[in-house]
Amino acid sequence: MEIIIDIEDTVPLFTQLMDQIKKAVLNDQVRPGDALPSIRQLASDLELNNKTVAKAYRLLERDSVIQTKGYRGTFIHPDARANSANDLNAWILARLDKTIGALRDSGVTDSEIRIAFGNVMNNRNY
Amino acid sequence: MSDNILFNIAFLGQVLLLSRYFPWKMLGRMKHVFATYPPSDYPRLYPRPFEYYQHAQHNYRVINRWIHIAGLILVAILFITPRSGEWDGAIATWFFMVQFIPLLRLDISSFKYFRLMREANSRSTRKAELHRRRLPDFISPFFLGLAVLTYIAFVFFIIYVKQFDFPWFGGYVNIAAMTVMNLVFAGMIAWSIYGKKLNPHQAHADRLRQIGLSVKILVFVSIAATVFIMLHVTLAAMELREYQPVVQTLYYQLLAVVCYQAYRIDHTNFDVYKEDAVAT
Repeated sequence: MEIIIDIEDTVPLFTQLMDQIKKAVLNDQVRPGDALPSIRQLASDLELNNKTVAKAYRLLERDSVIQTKGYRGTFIHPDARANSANDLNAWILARLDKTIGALRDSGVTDSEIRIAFGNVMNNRNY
Repeated sequence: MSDNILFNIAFLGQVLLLSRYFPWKMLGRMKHVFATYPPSDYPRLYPRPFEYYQHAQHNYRVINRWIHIAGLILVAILFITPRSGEWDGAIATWFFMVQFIPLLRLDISSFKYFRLMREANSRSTRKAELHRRRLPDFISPFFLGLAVLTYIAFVFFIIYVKQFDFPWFGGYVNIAAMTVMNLVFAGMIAWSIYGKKLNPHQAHADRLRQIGLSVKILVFVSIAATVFIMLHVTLAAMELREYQPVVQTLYYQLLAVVCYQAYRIDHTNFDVYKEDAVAT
């Protein structure tokens, strides 16, 4: 199974990596329990920074697509297939779209929504 | 006297094998690559002007020819000069080092060659296999176990010989030297498996094959070096020192046979060096 990264693509490198690993799971190119390359190996092969691959692995682990078993390495999660189908970005967009729609219906302006969103994201008191 | 003649013949073998046969094979491979994969069709193979590589090939031929001639003269001198033979081992070793200079030059220049390849690589896409590389993928556990067992046997052998207090025996320095060598080899194996890909165009299958070859060569050299030292010490302990230079030159020839395997190109995929080749 090959991973192809385009360094000139507008999609962040870690996202490209995550998407392709999820796609590999969904296409049965990798199966639960399969060993994944180490962060260092993948970063070295793709000529990426270790932190980029580590970030992709961390987020995939959060989504239960992969699991790290200490010194033994990183493996495909037993529930990876089901979890790979969940598109967290699509879910976020849908939730935000619904919330923003409700706020607009209440008469809140886009500018007020942006400021409020920024404040919430920055954990400010409002 | 007979052991002198034996050494002379074995040393002639070293001269012919390392400065005539293998360079001739290498030059044949270079010639084949230049003719079959010209810069017009395989531009990525030549990050510098083609003349540069022809010049490098010419230099390699000339240097080897001079070493070959020097070696033959040395063999002739050895044949006609009566001697005790105490310097034969040193002659074999020093000449072996000289014989390896052209290959060493090629190896060192290959780092620069791959750096230029990486700098010239304008592709924005990069590929990697989603498969973990591990040592057992490249060498059988049997060979690996054999290397470990040979090292352990060597340690016990040195401890055993140390009891006899031979004045010429280095003692535990042998264990230290062999341990350092094996650690360096282990580092080189780790680097070849997990390290950076030097050639940006190399096909995945070629890379795996190259890693496998490097690992096997290093493990084999480790075993051979350990056995060689044990044999060397045994010959000295049995008062058969006159045969040491013969064993030494045969050992160098064996090393050369093994090391030259790293330069085989039989299954190399050269399509990746075409202008329109997809990223590897």
